Amino acid sequence: MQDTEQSADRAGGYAAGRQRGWLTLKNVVGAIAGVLLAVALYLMFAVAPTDANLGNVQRVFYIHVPIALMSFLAFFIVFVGSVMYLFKRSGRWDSMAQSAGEVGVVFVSLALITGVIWARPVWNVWWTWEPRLTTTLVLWLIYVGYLMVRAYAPNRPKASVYAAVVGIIGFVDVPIVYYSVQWWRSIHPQQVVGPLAEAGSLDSTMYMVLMISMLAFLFLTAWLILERMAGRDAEDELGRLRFELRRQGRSAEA
Amino acid sequence: MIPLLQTALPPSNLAYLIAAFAVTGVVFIGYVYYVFRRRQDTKAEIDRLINLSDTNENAGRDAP
Repeated sequence: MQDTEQSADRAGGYAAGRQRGWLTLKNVVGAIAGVLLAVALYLMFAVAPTDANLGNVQRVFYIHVPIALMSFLAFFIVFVGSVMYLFKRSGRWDSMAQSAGEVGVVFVSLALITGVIWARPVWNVWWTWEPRLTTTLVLWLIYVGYLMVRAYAPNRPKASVYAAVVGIIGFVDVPIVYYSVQWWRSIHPQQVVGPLAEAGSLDSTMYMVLMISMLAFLFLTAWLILERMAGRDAEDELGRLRFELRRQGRSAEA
Repeated sequence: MIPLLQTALPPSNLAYLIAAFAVTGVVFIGYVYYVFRRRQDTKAEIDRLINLSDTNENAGRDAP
């Protein structure tokens, strides 16, 4: 029994975390995300009206817009986490930034893919070098670079500092992406949510479905970040255990 | 009653809609699988190292 307790102490928060049970914030957020996604999917296909001009492909909009906006949110979390890490040098902020960066790259990749699929029947091309698409591609490249800096830096502290710098500078592109349709001549549709959205630009039912989809993706983003942070905690714990075992091995040899 | 402004039905582009939702679903499920699998492997490695550490300690204690 004593050995078990000692083992739990050795594994730090990891062993304690495993005993917390299923009712954690992470699981509650995940369950809400699941329910909201199911509701949103039902509304997208059964309640939202078919667009008179674009037809069925317009429904891509209910996932494309929330996915794109959630990637902005994820990159904002990277920005905040990076600034806080540089000030406080706390692993918690670094973990948050790394997790949000990874989730953000998944989301922005999907925003590009769903956008390309929507563009083919509507614009008759898969891709065009117009401002919104180009700036979004640049955003994707910046944050793929962010993840590569983390992966290839010589050690963890350097990786965290380099990545924090990229995370802060890279965030400059997020408002550029959002405002690109206003600043330059763009064929991309105008904003339907946010400070530049025109009131009444969307049918009320479509707007309601979009908002529920947005909420569902918000919870999904939060859940994915929390899950990834838990994974990073476990990886840190593994690193500490390996270090301790090596130290034990060296002292035994001595 | 508002008259219909267009005579044709909305274009049928269901294949693109299905493709967009399918890709999104596959990417999300794939990413969630990757996150869970990676954490499971890490936890299994932690458990293995804890057991190894316990074995080493017991061996040290039992040694004359």
